[in-house]
Amino acid sequence: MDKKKEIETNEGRIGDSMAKKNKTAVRIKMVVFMFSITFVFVVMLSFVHLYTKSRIKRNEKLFLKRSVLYTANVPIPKSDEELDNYFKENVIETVATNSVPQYKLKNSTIVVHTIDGAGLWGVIRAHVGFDTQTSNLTGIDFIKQSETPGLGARIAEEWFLEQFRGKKGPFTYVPEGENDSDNQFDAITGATVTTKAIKYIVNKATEINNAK
Amino acid sequence: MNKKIKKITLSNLISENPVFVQILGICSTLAVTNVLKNTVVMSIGLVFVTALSNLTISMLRKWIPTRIRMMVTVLIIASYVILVDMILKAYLPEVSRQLGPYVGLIITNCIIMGRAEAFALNNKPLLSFVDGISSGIGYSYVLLIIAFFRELMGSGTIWGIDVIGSWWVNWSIMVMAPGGFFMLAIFIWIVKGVIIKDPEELKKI
Repeated sequence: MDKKKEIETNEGRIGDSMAKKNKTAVRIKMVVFMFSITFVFVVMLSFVHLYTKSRIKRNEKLFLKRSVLYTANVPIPKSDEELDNYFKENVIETVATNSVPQYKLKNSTIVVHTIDGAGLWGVIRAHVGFDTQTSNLTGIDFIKQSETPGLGARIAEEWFLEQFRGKKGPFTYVPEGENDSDNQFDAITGATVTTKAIKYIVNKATEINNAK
Repeated sequence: MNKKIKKITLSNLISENPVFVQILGICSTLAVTNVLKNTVVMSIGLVFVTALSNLTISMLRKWIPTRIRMMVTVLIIASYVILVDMILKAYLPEVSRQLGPYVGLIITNCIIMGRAEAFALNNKPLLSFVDGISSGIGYSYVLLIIAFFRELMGSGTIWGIDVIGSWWVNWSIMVMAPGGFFMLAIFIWIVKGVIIKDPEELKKI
């Protein structure tokens, strides 16, 4: 009886250690597989990243340059090279006190400030242009915003941006389509938080501009 | 083979449609359908990612250990989503800016994971590829129909162009999430209640 039991347990032990060995092998295989497939995909993505990096950077720079000229109410050169040249010759980029870029146009009184405000879903970053002689707005453009599409995101539409040209702050907002004086702008129906953020941005910009 | 492809395609488009039969991918259905343009790009991205991830997973299916298959599928799907994001940023910066966070959200779409799990892990690469494309299209056309009505009623426009005129008062609720719920529910109701009345009929297609 005892002997049989002993054999059984021995067998069990042997079986256990076999299973353990197998288990370890399977586990190692899984780790190796996961490691190698991750490696392959990461290498692939890195190559694509290296290949597209300069293009992505350039696209972002061109976008910023276009936005600055749009805000300054200056005609935007059509081709990318012309835009680069124009920018090189006519625009001075400096860093403002709040460590955001500020642009100054040569031979004119126009300055473009970069202002951040808190939108509904995230930061709204805007370019706000001023004619320093009259402190009138030359224009506004949003370079970063993640507002609700169809509601708050309508701030990026042309009618909204264009309404600020030539006006003078500090601003208040009125219901859509009702602005009729120099210090009012059309709010966006259904996007009160966004509208408030825009009010903050334009008024902050006015403040910064007047302080100088 | 051809018969199989036809069967898979039809079932993905109608009888097993990921959106109105399986009710998958609802988050993105609600999020992107308020403007038609976003919907189109989201759809293209989804078709691309589903097809390619299905193909890759199917090619690797014999080597993927069963216990870590989820990790592997997520890794593959994520890689393709990042790839789409980088290509859009480099070659179509305008579209990429408009879509913003939506490209990254493709990864959270349950349809991709579902197809990988239910189909690509057990089928040959070509079939899986076809399955990926057809379920992507099955998702896309439903979204496009919903987006068409939501943009029309919510903003009075189609593809950003004013079509209704100034007499129309925009329904703000249509561009917000509740509008998406209403439209999706109405769509499912019409499809299941009026067009396809008998569930048995679906299986015959």
